[in-house]
Amino acid sequence: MPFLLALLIAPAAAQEVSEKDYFGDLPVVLSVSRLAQPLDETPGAVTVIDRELIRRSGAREVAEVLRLVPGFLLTYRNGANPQASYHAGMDTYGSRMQVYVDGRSIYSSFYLGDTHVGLRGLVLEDIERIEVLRGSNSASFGANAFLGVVNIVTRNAADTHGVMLSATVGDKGINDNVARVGWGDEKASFRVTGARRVDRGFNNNYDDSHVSRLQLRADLMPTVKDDVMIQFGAGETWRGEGVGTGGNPFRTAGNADAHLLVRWQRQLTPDQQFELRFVHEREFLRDRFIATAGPISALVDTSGEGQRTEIGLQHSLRLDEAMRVVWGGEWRYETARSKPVFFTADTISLHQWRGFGSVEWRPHPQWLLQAGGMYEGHSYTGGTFSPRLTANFHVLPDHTLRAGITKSQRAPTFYELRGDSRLYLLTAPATQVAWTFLASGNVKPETLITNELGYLGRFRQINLSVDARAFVERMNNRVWFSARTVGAFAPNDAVNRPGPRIHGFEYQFDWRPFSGTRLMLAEAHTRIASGDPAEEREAPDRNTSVTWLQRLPGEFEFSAISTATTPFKWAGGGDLINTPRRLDVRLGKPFAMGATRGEVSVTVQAINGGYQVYKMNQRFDRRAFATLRLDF
Amino acid sequence: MRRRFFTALATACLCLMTYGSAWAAGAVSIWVALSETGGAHAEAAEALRTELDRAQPGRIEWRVAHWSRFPGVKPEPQWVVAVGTAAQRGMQELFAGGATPPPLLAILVPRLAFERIADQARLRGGSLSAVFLDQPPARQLEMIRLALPAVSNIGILVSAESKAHGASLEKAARERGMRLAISQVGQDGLFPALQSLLAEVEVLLALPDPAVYNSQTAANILTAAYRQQVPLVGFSPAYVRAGALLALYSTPAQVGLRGGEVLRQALSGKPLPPPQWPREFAVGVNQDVARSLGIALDQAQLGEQLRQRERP
Repeated sequence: MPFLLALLIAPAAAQEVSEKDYFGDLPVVLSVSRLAQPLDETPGAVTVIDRELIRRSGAREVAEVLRLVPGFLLTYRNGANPQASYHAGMDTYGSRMQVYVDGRSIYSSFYLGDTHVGLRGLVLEDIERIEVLRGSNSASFGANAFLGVVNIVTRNAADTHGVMLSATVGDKGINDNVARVGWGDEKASFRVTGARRVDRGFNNNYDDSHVSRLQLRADLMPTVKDDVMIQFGAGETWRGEGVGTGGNPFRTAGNADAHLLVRWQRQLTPDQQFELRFVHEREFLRDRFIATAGPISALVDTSGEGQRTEIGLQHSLRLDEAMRVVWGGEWRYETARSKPVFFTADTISLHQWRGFGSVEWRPHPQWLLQAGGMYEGHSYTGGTFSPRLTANFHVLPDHTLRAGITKSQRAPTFYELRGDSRLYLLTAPATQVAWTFLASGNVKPETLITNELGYLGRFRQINLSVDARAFVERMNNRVWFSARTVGAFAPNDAVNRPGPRIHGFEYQFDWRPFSGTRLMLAEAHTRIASGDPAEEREAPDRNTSVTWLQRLPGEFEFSAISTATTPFKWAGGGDLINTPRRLDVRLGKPFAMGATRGEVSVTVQAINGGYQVYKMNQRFDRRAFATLRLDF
Repeated sequence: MRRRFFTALATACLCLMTYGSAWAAGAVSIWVALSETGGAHAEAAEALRTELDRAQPGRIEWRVAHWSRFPGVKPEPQWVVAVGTAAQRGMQELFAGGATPPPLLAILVPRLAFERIADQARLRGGSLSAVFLDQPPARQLEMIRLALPAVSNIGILVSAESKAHGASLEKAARERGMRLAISQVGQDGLFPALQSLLAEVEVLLALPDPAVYNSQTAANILTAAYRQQVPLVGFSPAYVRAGALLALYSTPAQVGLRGGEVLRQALSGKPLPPPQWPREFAVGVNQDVARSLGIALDQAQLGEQLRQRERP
């Protein structure tokens, strides 16, 4: 009888430990396709900035974080327009850089091509890490993965259960707030983040900015083989623009956007993964003002709205120990509507489709060869092919040499293809007084052929890692605006010209000499050769950032970041200026009160005094702010 | 239907596997009660029998069967080996009424399960012992130190039951200059406990506890730890396949072998030793995970180094 009783009791005691826990089978969770490629096997130089570094950098937005990456320049067209750019300041919108957030591009092709507005909308507290591909890679990421590819991975909703509140106040009207709530169970996690970021920009400028954002993320794991991520976000950015002249008066411009992203990843087998991605997004731009020149006044308007819908498929598989393959396709439909920008009330649209594939082959344990390519069809510019070939050679287990060649593209934007901007007198009759832009539609994609040699070394005994890269980037078909004659007017058109040849080398050292101490150096030496003196000044000879993170007694955390750039001139209206050392320091103190954890911190940016930025008469002045953050 | 099949199977096993030499002088009768008749349990039982038969061929009269087949079987044996938790419980209860029950050796049982169900009187009296399935805390921490020399903060995720592992692991960690963080999964679920733990540790040591680690939560924990670049150390080869950086475990054959050694010494007249850990073990490394985390590990070398540390 007792043993019968035991039989009956046994199933009820399923939550008690038994040998079954040791012998039960488990599904393969971290299959090869779910694992990130180690840095010494990536087909290009990658700098990773993790959450800890973002937090301790004292940065308030992503562009400020990117200056820690070798070769990345940071400028502020005005206080409301921070912008990072790789190697050269060729434009003031970030149109030659690609930015992905969890696989969704934030590149706006509505007007002149823009990533800087999208970057401003991101909430730093939700970011898990930023992976920056230093170089170009249209073979994997498609058009616009041109000079730098920034991959931003936001935190999984399963990692942010609970409530987080953060408030920052400081000089220059700095007033930032973040509120986040996360919840869920083993099968599904959810998060809602609301954030706003406000400041008054620079002294003596009309450049206040007000960024607000609502972001939802759901991570579902209906089975162990499936990951479904759903994101919905909406936000707006209002910013001061203008320089106070008749043609460019002070005004408030804005962007609003909303997006839906759904990504489903399924592990077909431990060696195979399938991914389906759907993106739909809308953006609304508003920048409208009255320009005056003497007695003439006209309405200048670049407002409008754009939409993008995108469906992508990707299949990755490991054929055997030596060979991995990724292939897939994508279809994209974009529309834009703006009477003043395109001189039509109609919606204009374009289709793009992409097919891509890459092969990773390990013929010998020390060698890894990767070849890939993407063919893109574009309803305006036709087909382009972007190939890539890299070889990684592990000289020793922790020392890798890499050589690569790749061709990338920047697709012309709607404006460059279809823009038609005419100015009319405000007073009746509405006579045309100027024709600022008329696209012929003949512009071709910019291309960039990059040759690179890299070294990645890890000296485990002294906790030092080194990443160095030498590069030659040959740009062709660079898009310029050039006036042509149409009747009595001389509107600009987007035309292609041969581009510059950018060459140089960059490196980063990341050293943890003692526990609690981290020192980083990121530096790039760049030269531009083009024959055009103005173009040759678009990159600094040297651009350096030094970061020191130190844990102090009493659990205080100190950090200092120093950046400096030799003289150069940012395109689009920048002056030839020197950016001497800017030193940011931060002191933080994490604490815990019962189950509530928190942190107080004080950051002073440009503690060594202000410095000129972008233009002669514009300064980034010293500013201090304090942050209180609570997690419970 | 299923039950009937197992009954038939168990009967067949009993008939087929019962052999011996009852007529031989000095024969010892041993019952081997299995929690399950196949898989790991059979493998451990086989290793135990092989070890004893090798030492004393033909001396032992074996009866090997599912534990539920033994009630009513006469005569009572001189020794009982219970393979697994269910068999241990069944055999303890079978002889619970007797004045002098045959000594019982439980093998392939997790320590916590053994301690939960062990008959305390018999344990004190020296007629109950065990060879556990788990690894000694010192060995677990020594392996982490060998595999990840830079690591000093280790975390464990426990329930109210497995919290009992904490004290011995904490002591072993302290002895090695490491710090053990313990996070208990409470009413509000897995994630709050996991989140706060992953924020402060460099490696996560998984402990067998179905309230914390089951086939659903293992996926949650493995992916969450990987996102934070925190390697997970598992306790079975299944964990290595699933995505743990490495695992330390003893195979059923290794536990069975140790059981055989313990029983051999007991048969030669020595008292039954106290419950103990398996002596032999295996180390598994998931090279894909190691490479992705930028960790260089050699499975064979790691196992050998760990064995060397344990040699006197």
